[in-house]
Amino acid sequence: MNKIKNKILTICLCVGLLSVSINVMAEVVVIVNKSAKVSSLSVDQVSAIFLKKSDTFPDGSAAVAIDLPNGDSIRDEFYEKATNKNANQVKSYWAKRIFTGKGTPNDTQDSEGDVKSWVASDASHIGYASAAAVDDSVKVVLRMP
Amino acid sequence: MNWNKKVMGLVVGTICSAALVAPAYAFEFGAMGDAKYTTSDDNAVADSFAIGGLDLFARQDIDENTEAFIEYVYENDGEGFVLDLERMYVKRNVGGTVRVGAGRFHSPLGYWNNTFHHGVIMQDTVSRPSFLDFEDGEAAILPTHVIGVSVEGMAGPVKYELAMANNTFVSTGDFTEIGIGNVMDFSDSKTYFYRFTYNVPNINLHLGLSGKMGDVIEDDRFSPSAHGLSSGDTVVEQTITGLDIVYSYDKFNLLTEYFSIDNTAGTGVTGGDGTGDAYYVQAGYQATDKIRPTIRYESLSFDGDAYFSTLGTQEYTANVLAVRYDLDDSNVLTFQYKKTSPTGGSDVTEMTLDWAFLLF
Repeated sequence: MNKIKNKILTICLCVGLLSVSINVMAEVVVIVNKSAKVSSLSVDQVSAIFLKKSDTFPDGSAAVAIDLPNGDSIRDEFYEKATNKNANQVKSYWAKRIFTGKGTPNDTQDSEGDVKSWVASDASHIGYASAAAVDDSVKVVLRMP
Repeated sequence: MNWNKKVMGLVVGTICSAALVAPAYAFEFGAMGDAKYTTSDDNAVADSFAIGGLDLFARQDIDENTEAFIEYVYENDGEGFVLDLERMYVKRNVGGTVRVGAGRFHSPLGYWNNTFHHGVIMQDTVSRPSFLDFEDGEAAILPTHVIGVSVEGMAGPVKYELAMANNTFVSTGDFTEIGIGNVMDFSDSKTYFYRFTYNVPNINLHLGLSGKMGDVIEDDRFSPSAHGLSSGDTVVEQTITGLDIVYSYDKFNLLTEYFSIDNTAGTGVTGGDGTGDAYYVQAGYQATDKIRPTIRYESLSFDGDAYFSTLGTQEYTANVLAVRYDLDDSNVLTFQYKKTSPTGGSDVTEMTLDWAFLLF
């Protein structure tokens, strides 16, 4: 009887831990090239760049954004936090922009590692990744826990 | 063997590296449509449900510097469903901000024509200003599409777009819509369009100047010209000048456009020269994050001439009140009240409830 109770408790504990881990979202950080003059960006500034409402950093230098692919959980989390849009709303936004000729979605890189490499390759590049995925090859300008 | 493996590895590695670094050319596709119910005090028109046009569009970067765009609208023109190729163009970046393009595209006339196109979901009212109707619409007076070439770019803070295109044509022997030569023109001369826009820094103010210079020519293929002209002869030499202002402050937005249409009669054309003035003023207020009421006043007046009489154009004013409710970014409910007052005619009041949607 005790063994059965212990097993039930263990199962409940595992399920509870899993639920907690599923509900915990990763910290998403916005990264730029280490030689970029910008040292920090606000959520609104990041939103404007990634939605292509602005193509410059606050100092006027060029800003070119990169995305992770559609369906990537870090991408979805980034847009929820930076623009308050869910994945479908982001797609809808870009569909309208395409239709009116006002812009096209950002290019994409397949993985956070590729995003990091791409950002590190040019001073104008800006991207995002989970905090755990970045290292000192890039500069963090915004943290979104 | 070791040498072959090394070469193969180098080739595979190079391809993989290129694939990793080079972004893919995504193919973007979307569709828009709407369904509506309209009631009117015009006894000749029954209260009706209707579907709007199904707008299908696709776009792709076909190489690093070139994009292609196509748009079809499947719609019922009152006599049956027709499939219209609305836009098909290719554009290429040739250096700096300069892009050249060719195909069928929206004429660089005005703000509404170049911003809202065919998508009801894109605009804050159900209907366009009547005088901005598409060429196959009853109230159309402007060429909203052209077939030709374009060049666009930035000259300092000013954005420019220039186009050279086939002439628009009318069939003076029969009341007709504005014709657009998709595969041919009737005259060697061509029509020119321009559009300059400027966004005033630090305030949400957009200024635009646009225009058309060229002939409206005769098309006598299906009915003899009312003026004894042949296909390609000038009905009117037409100059259109447009001004547009878009301004937003906090939750308030203002959009207004004015067009002057000057027609000089061609040789042998009866009816004389004519001038038309068309404008609208539209104001909206973002009452909540989902609800935006909008009001609009429209006006069209002109001197009668061969162009306006051929099209059967009617002078009018109109008052529009619309309330847009965003169910989501992808679908919108809009209620519109529109009272049209034709000069010398009876007022017509319509109320429409429209549900517009976007597929992507």
